[in-house]
Amino acid sequence: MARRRSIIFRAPESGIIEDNARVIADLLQAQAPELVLLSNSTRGRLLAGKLGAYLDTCVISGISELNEETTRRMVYGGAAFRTQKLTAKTAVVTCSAGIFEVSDGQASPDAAVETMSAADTRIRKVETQAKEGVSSNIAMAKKVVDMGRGFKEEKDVEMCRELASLLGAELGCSRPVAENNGWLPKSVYIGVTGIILKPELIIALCVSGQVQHMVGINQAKKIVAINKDERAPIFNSCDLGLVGDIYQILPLLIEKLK
Amino acid sequence: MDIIACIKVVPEEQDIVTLPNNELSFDKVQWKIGQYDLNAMEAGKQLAKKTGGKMKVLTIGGDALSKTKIRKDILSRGADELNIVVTDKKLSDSLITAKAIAEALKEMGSFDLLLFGTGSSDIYSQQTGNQVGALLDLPVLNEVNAIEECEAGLKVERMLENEVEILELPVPAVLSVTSEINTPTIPGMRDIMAAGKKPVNELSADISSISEYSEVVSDLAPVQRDRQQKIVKGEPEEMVEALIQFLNS
Repeated sequence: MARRRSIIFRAPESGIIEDNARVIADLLQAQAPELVLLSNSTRGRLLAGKLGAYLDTCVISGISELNEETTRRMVYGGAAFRTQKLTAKTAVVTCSAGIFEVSDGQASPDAAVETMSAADTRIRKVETQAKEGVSSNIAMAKKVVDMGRGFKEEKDVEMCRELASLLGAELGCSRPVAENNGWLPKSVYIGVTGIILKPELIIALCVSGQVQHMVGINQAKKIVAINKDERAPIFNSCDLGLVGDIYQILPLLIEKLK
Repeated sequence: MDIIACIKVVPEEQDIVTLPNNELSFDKVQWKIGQYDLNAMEAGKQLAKKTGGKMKVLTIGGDALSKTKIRKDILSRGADELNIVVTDKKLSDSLITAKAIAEALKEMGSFDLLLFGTGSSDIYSQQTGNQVGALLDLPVLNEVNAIEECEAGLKVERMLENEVEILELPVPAVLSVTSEINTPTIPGMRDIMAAGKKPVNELSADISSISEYSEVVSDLAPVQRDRQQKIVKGEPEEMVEALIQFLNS
């Protein structure tokens, strides 16, 4: 096994951690690893891009699968999975949440820890503000209630949230619900440009079943769909489909589950 | 403030056909401006207007860029000038694209700000802007949700997963914007008429020697999981009963 070494980078109070990219790239250059893994978060992606440019290598971002020599990720709005072979010496890859089994996360006991900081200081942090909306564990949830664009008003979110809480599920949504309506935070929208899920159960409420959204829920073990339009494409990819009015079905379901 | 919006012309997803062997056919695709690039151009247009500057657009791609229709479409969205590199090189990797952009920029003269969308709507690596920034050694940020001019250069709001950062940075700089930064305006008749009179420059950037860093093995439509497809219609009570049974099974 390779020598374990932990280096902790700290951003100066007035900077951002991504500005350590040059120092990190120099370290990587010296070690010449075959693979550099980062999270597919905003910071992870920026850091990955800079490392890729400095190391003159490819960055494959938002992968859903990692094998010995290849990665898989979605392209063309979910219409396809791209299998890509890494031909560069050091490949930089960012992974979406939920693609690996979570380990107990303990650092290896014999790791040597060093702290470094050598940030480029052109970008200055003025302040950090809390983001509106609650945090969510949707990427790791076993059950998910999925709110589609077919709902009429913002207060319907409460009904969906109540169902989620009765089922012990997390609440997510399709892109228009988060981006156009702003009813739920962007961090819980499901689909090709949002979160890709792999839960036991998804209950899709008023979801039509567009490919861009379906790629986010297709890997669920079971899918239940409720939609009044019986021609909605979601009914072709669900295990149980209820054709009916959500405003009749949902209150009744909530009542029964209580 | 002089702005260059870097955009990509991409295949219309709805025209992509899945063949029986799960491969994709692009034979019938129309080409369009990438969805997120519309946000970049809108942000550029607004900032140029506010600061009394200009916005140029740069795009690199294949034959689709030779068509007048797509050129006019780009120019009707607030660009003062369109710069194009037509190439048969496959830009299948964000670093190749970033290097090609850096090469093309040498011909375009100075700028204060390069703008990108959050990702191209076909490949969506969300990397090109980050990599152009690194290659040019300019301050670079992604997921920027608001931009204004300030004494230091630019003051921006950046969306992280759980918080919003307020940052200041000097120009020239490179920013990729979120899809929520604005609502792109739909061009009116006057914009479309004016687009025909705006300059289009075909750049001669030589990008043929940029090498590949990865190899695309295949693009295949996802295999559908077998679903039970049990469909229930009728009274709400029956449907809820079926659902509860399903949840308990």
